[in-house]
Amino acid sequence: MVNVILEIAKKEIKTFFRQSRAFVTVVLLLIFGYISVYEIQNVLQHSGYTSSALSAALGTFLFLVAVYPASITSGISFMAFAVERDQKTLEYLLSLPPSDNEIFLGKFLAAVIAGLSCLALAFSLVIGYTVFANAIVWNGPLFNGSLSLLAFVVAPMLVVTFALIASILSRYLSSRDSFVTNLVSMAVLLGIFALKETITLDAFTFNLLIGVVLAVAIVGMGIFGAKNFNREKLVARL
Amino acid sequence: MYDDTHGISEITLAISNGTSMSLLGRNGAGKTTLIRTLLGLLKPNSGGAIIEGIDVIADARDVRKITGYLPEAFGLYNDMTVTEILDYAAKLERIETVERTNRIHSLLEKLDLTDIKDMKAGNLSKGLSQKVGFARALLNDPQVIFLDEPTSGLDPVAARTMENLVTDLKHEGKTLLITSHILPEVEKMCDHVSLIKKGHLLASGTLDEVKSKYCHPTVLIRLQDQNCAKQAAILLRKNFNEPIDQEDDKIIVQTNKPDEVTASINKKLEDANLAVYEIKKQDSSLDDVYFKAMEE
Repeated sequence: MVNVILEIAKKEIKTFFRQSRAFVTVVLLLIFGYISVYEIQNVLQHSGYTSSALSAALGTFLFLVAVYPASITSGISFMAFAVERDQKTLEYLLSLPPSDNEIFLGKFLAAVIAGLSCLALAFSLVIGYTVFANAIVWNGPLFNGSLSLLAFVVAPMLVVTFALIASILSRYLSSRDSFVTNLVSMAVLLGIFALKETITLDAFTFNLLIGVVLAVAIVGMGIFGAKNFNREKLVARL
Repeated sequence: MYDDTHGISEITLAISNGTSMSLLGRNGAGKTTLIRTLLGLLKPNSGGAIIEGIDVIADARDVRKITGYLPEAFGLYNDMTVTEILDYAAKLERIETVERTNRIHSLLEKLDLTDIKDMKAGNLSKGLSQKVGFARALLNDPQVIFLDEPTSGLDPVAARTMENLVTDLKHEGKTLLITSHILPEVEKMCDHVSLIKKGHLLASGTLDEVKSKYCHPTVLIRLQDQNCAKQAAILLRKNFNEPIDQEDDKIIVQTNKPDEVTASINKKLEDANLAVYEIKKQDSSLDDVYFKAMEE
């Protein structure tokens, strides 16, 4: 079972990165990475080059950086069924022995692996560049509770959420509509980013709240996605 | 078996091992729906099907392990090479590494695809894509193979190649269920036919059985001129019960026993001193049968 899931995941990732769409995501990485690094530099100039100031700045701008992996995730997830349907490969795939769960998990896993890898890469680049480009004064731990929650829980959960949303939507929409999910995912992240800046909650509570909302969304969509996946519905739409 | 608007109903079919059956019917008759149901891709509202002793409804996954399928409107992963496509499909079929390599190699050779094995699917012609799709359907060495319009859109040479491949499979003892609108091809590839109209089965059996249900063979007699043909028609109508038509210098007799009737007619006309220029038995074609069945 695991082999089949991994084979499907491997193929999906390869296919995504062979498309011109992958080029767009690289451009997005550069844009959002540059904006984040630039803004963090501005914050550090005003607050001082200390680990506590960097931690606070990262807590704000890592949300922006997460747009890139979210875009990759929803892009790959959307290929799950929409692209297969558009290029007329879906019926053959469904006529093969793998179970519904193996097909769904393989495609979902591809999006999550790619999204989390990109998330790790994007965070490492932004954090690494900022730390090594500046003489940071270590007046405390960089990864405090709030930043740890954001980097290791909330951001990965965002990736999983977008993977679920896009893979569920891809059953109903065509691949031409995939840009819509990308735009929506970016809008949601930017909305959260704006909300974070306007409300008075402390960063830890805010991240915790977002984490809880995402956890509920993941469980809800996971159940919905698994219950609603069946070959018959997909074949009926061919 | 399926809903009123888009499906099939009251179809009872038995296909023996090693036979090749063609499903014939107009677009939307339910041929593809029937194949999808047999593959467990669609669940019927009622009824069922058994393939090689496996219940299609209860054990659809097991059915998919022993069947091969070439869908009508199928695509290939355009960014992958022919070998990559076959390798990916074989992995999903859970074929072990060594067997997988051997199987892909032998299929590439058998279908004459070795030269294009490293070509991207996006660069292949329709005929070559069809061959790759065909190879993909045979990866698990299936006993039962479903081919939905295997020659649709192919040029005559590619269609002939596909036809030969199907004939080879037939000789290997595989069970084939084929849909096609190209009836002369069906006559060459299949020994059984089933006619479907608006989801209902009209007829099923060997080619001869189905033909005899809708059309009789005919005996064509050509005489010296129209006058002789008129005289002969009067004579034959007195002596034979079969329907007899006369047109110009020709007489056409519809009969279930063409050999017997040909000999008797020849003798009768000789006795009456009517010179027969030509007398021959004519079998009805599948085209005739198809149009007659679809008109009813």
